[in-house]
Amino acid sequence: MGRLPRAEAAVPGPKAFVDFQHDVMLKDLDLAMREGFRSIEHIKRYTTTGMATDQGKTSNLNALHHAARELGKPVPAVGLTTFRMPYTPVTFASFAGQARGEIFDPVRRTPMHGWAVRQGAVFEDVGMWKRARYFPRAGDDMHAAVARECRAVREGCGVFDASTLGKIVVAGPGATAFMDRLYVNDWSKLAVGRCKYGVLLRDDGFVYDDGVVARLAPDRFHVTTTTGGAARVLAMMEDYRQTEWTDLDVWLTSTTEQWAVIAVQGPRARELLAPLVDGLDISAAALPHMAVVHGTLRGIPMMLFRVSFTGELGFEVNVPSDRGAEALEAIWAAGASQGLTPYGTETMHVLRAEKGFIIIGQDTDGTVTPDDVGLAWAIGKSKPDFVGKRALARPSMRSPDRKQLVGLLTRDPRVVLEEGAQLVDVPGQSPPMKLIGHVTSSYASATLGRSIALAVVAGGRARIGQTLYVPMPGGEIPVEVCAPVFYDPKGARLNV
Amino acid sequence: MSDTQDSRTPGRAASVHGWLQPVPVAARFVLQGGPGALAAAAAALGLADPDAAGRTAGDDAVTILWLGPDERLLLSWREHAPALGARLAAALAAHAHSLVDITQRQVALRLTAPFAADLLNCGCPLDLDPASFPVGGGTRTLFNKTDIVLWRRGTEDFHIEVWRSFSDYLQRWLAESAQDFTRPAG
Repeated sequence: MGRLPRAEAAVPGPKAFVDFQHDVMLKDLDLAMREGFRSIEHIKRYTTTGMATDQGKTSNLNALHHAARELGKPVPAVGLTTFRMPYTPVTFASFAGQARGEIFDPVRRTPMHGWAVRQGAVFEDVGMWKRARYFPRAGDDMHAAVARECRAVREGCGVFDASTLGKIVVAGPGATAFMDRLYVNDWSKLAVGRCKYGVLLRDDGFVYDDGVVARLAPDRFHVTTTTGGAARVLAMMEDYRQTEWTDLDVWLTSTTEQWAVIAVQGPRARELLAPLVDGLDISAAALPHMAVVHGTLRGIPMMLFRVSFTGELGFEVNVPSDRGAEALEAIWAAGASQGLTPYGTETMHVLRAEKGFIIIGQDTDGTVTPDDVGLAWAIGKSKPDFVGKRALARPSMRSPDRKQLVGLLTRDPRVVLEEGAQLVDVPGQSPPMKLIGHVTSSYASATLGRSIALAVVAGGRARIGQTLYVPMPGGEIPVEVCAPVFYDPKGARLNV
Repeated sequence: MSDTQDSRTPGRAASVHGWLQPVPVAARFVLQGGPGALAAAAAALGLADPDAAGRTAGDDAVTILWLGPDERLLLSWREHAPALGARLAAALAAHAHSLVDITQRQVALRLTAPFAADLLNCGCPLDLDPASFPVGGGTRTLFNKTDIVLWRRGTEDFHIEVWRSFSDYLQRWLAESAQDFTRPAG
């Protein structure tokens, strides 16, 4: 066989690979034989030569010849090892089968997808969903479109397809106890027709998901989850329901796709919706922030939530999925001449960041506690237990040096930080630097006329007012640490 | 559906074939509860609860599918959700239960063809031999990457329930796989 001459013993030779899949070298075969293995089956097992997925097709003859020479036998006397499947090469196409192109993965579209297409939406993938990211008009790039959409929501009214949010009905006599044990919040005092922002931890105490939860009846909750968390939250709930809390009469049903959800957000949202809801009183007195009511919108059955992920007066119109497009067309027909503006996920991200509302998986990474992201207020203090409570009591989870969510303002307001960029508190360091946190969200804010960013920083809340630095290839960017709410910190715009 | 489907999709083309048709279902509910609740709901519908794994019960008004020891899927063929929901809620008042309207959560397809079972097995690992999955059998299962509920109405006649946003994926798969059965030989 094609063995190249190599220097013996005195200097280490080049690496002579025999099995390219398992990285077996000639010296490994030599060692096997020095250890006393003579049968080729034993040499194979000692070295794993020929045991990779190619079953030795690229290596066995080399190994056999080497063993034969070292053992002083003819090759046929050394023999072949046992072949196992696959006997013949299997192409990747055979494994893939039909799972390619359009049917490689499901592409999920909301009931209002066609409307968004007609409005010129640019879509992005969020899990399997196609979501409208922004709606450019002639000449708009994304920055211009998002700035226009943000201004529309802050000054007038915007409309947004929120159908992909996960929805779970938690129902049964044990529903309140189930929610109390699962979420950090206290649900016992939540009145029927009212909503609360819920925070769900894993049993290690780290934030897992969040969402607005409405009590529809004494024994019935409408739980919303993040878009990406819908399936795993339902699975986690079922796990606890079936294995831990069999004492509770409670059941879970996904209703994510039962409802099409149209968010109508902005200071003019109420005057725009009021003529459409068939006489339903949606005044601030009748439907305050974080309330829910049943009604109809132009005859379409509706659950109307007064909720806001933008910081503005906001409503989320829930209608049966097959009537989502019809409901959106009705809202659009009434609002288009009034300046109603379609907005996408990018604008939603900017608006919520201006308010310091976190996004699970962007501002959290599976290692943050509720207190780390400023959500300790949500925890029901008098509850005997909830998932993650015991973990939160551990000393390391209460350390003031934990990474905490803060806001960052660049000294130069035009500079938009890179998401994921690291932070240092001592400028001028050479690598390896002492890193104290990183940027989790960063945008150009049209509302504020400058850039904003959210970050997690070690002991961050105690650093408010300090200057930190973002080391980048082009130099260090100085940033000032601030509270993570950039706009309307008192929430005056919500409660109107 | 017009807004959720791209007119160029094979899924759309598939429904033109005789073997795959959309099925109108007037109302769907997921009912969960103990044996008392399940029996009370079935009685209100004039049926006996199909109290066995993978079984269904029904008539020309309602079909009940056993999805789990404490879970049933109710398909109503004529009565719409508000009226049926109110009737069931009244019958269930004395029992701990969860009754949730999911009429719009999913859509239904009817697959009727001599090759129906073999076609389903292109994406569904269930043993569809009539000895294992007889006429009248119903179960939650998988078709590749989507959940489906499969109900065998006849030897070559299946009713498939699928979440609406996965329907396009399911139809594309079935259309693609069906070429093995519908393409002229040679």
